[in-house]
Amino acid sequence: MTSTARILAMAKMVWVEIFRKKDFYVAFILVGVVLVYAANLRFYNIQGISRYLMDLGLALIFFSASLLTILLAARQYPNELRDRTLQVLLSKPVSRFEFVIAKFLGSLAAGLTCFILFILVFLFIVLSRAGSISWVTAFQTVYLFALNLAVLAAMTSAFSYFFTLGANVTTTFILYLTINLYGGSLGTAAAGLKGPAFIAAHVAYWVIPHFEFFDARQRFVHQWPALSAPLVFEVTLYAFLYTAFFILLGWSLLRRRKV
Amino acid sequence: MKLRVWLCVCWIGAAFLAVPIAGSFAADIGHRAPTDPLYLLLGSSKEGIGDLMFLKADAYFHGGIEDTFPEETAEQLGREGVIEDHHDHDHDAHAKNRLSHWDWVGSMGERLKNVEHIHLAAKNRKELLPFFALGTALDPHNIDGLLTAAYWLVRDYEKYDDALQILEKGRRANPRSWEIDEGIGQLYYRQKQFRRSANAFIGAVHKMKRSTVDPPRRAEIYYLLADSLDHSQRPAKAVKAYRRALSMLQPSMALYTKIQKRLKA
Amino acid sequence: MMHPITVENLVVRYAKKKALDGVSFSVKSGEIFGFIGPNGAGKSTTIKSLLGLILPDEGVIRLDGLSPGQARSRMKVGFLPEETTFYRFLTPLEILDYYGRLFGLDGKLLKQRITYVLERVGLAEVRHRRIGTFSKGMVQKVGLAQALINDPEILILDEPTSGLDPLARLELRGVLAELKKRGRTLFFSSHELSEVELLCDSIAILREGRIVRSGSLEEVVGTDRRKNLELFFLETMQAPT
Repeated sequence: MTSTARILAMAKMVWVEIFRKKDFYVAFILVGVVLVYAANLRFYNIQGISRYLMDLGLALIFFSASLLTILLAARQYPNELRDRTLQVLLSKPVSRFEFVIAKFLGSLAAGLTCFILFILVFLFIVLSRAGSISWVTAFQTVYLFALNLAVLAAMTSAFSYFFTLGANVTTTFILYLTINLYGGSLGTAAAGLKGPAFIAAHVAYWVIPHFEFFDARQRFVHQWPALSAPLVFEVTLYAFLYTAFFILLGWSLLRRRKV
Repeated sequence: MKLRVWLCVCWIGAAFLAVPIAGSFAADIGHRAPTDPLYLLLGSSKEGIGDLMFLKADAYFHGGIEDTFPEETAEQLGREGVIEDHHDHDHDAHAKNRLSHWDWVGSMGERLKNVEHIHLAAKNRKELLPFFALGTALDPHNIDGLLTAAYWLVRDYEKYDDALQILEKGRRANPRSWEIDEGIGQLYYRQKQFRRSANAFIGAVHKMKRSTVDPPRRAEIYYLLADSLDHSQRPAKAVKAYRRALSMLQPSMALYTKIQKRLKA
Repeated sequence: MMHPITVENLVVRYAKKKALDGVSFSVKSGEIFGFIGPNGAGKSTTIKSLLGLILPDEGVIRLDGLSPGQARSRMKVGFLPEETTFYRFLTPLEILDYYGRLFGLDGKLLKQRITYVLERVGLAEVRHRRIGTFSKGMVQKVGLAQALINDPEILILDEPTSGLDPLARLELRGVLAELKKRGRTLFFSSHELSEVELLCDSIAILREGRIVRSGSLEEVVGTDRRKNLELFFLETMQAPT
C-alpha cells in the first residue's frame, strides 16, 4: 500500500470524526438560524438590502469554520495520546511523518467541508435576497479562505505537538483573531515604536502568517474588482510555504518523541 | 425529581429577582430603572455597539474601507506615511503602510485591499440603512449619527416619517441638543409643515443660547425660523427673527442679501 | 537462523534515569514468550521500543531483521496495547476496516479478514455498534481483533487479559494457542503469572530495567514440583539486587 493511501485512510478518520460528533451540527444550526433571521429583517420597508446579510453571513461562516478547524486539529494528537490509540496507530506500518500529514489533511478536509456546506446555505439565502452576485469574486473569496484554513489547520496541528489541548486552542484562537484584526496595521505600528517593542513588533510583523491576506469578504460584499491571477498565485504560494513550514515544525516535534 | 424541582425554583426565582435588583442599582446612582430590553441585555456596551454601527455605515459609504483618513492614523501613531494624492477628490489620499522598499508583506497587503477612496452610488445607499436602524436603536445619544441617519433616509428615499421618528427619539434622549431640534425643524420645513418647523426652530434657538455656535450657522437657523413663522402667518415674529439673523451676518454674505430682500418684501 | 525478535543491550533513558539498562533477549519463531516483572520494571518501555514508539538510546532491536524505526518492519506485527479505549465514535467494523487498510488490505480480502477476526473474538453480533457503548472487556476484544487483522507473524500483547472475565480469558487463551499452532510468534507481558505459566514456552523476568532471569520455563523455574512461577517470581523479587 502506498504512503498516499495510508495518509488518506488516516485523514478520512479525522473527517468522519467531525460528522460523528456534535460540533458541526451545532455550528450549522446556529449559522442557519442567524442567517434566516437576518434575511427576514426589514429596514424602513425598502427592498433589496443585502450587503449587511452578506457581511454578517460571511463573518459568521468564517468564524465558525475557523473555530471548528482549530478545535478539530488541536485535539487530534492529544486525544490519540490520551486514548493510547497513537501507540496502536504507530505500531502499524505508519511513519510519524505520514501521521502528521494525515492529521493535517483530515482537519483541513473537515474544515473545508463544513465551510462549503455553510457557504451553500449562505449563497441560497443571499441569492434570494440580492438576486445576483459576482461569481468570480465569490470564488476568489472561497478559495482564499480555503488557503486560510490550510495555514490555520497546519499551525494548530503543529502547536498540538507542543501545547496541551486547552493551551493550544486558546493560543491559536487569540493569535488568529489578533492577526486578522491587527496584522495589516502592524507594519505602521512597528515603525512608530522604540527599543525592545520596536524589535518585537518587527519580528512579529515578518514572522507571523498574515491571515488577513486571505480575507476577501469585503471584496465580495462591496463588489470590488476581482483580484488578478498573478496576485492570487502569490497568495497561494504564501499559504503553501507557511503550511509546509508548520507541517515540518510538527513533524520535527514528533519525530523523536517517546510515545 | 425533587432536585429538579428545586433547581427550577432557584433558577426562576433568580431570574425574577434580576429586574428589581437592576432597578435598585440604577436608582442608587440616580438613573431611572432600566426598562429598555436592549439595555438589560447589553448593559452599557449597548451604546458602544451602537457607535460601531455608525462607523460601519461610514465604512459602507466608503465602499467597505474602514480607515478613510489613513494619514491621520499615521500621525496618531507618530509616523508620517507616504501619501499619494488622487486629484479627483479633496479627501482622496492613502498612506502606504510599508516599512521599506523591501517590505513585500506590506506590498502584498496593499494589493489585496482596495484603498481607493470612493463614495457609494445612490442606488446602493440603501445598504447603509440597516446600520442606521441598529445604530439609532442602540445609541440614541450619538447626535451626529442620528442626524446622518435622518439625512440619508430623506435624501435618497424621502422617508420623512422614519427620519422624524429617529429624531424625536433622539430629542427625548438628548433634551439639551439644539442640533436635533434643528434637524426636526429642517424636516418639517421641507414638508412645508411650517407651524411644526417653527416650533422646532424655536426650541433650537433657545437651546443654542447655552452653546457656542458659529454666527453664520446661528443666523441660518434664525432665517429658517423666520421663514417658518412667515409662512405660518406670524409676520411680526418673522421680522424679528429675520433681523436677528441679519445681526449675525456680514453684508457680503449671500444670506444677508436674501434676508434683506425678504424684509423689503 | 534469524529470530523474529532480537534485542541486544537495549538502553532507554527518561531524562537521566535509565528505564532499561542493557536488556538483551531473543524470541524464537513460533514461540510464546512471556515478559514479566513488577510495576515500573520497564516492561511497557521494552514493548514500546520493540514497536519503534520509543527510539532506544543504545542497543539494537530487530523485528524480522528490520529496525523498528522503519515503518515496514511493522507490516507483519500485530500489537494489543494495555487499556486502550479506541475511537468511541467508530464501530468495530469501521475500526478494522481502517486498520486493515493501513496494512494495504482492501476489497474482498479485507472483508473476509474482518469477518473472520470479528467472529474469532466474539464481536460479530455487535459489529455495527459504536465502541463508545462497549464494556471494558468488549473493548479489549476490539483491541485483539485489530491486532489480528493483518494475520501477523509476530504478535505483541501488553497485559492482554486485563479487564477480561474468566470466560473471556479462556477464549483468549484459545486464540493464542491457535496462533501458536499456526507457527506465529507471540510476545506478551502480563501480571497474571498463572496465564504466563500456562501459555509460555520461554520467559524473561525484568527488575529495575534489567533482565534478572530468562530462558525456557523449565530452565528458569526448575523442575521442583513444589515451586510454581509465582513463588519463583516472589523469591526473585525479594532477593538482593
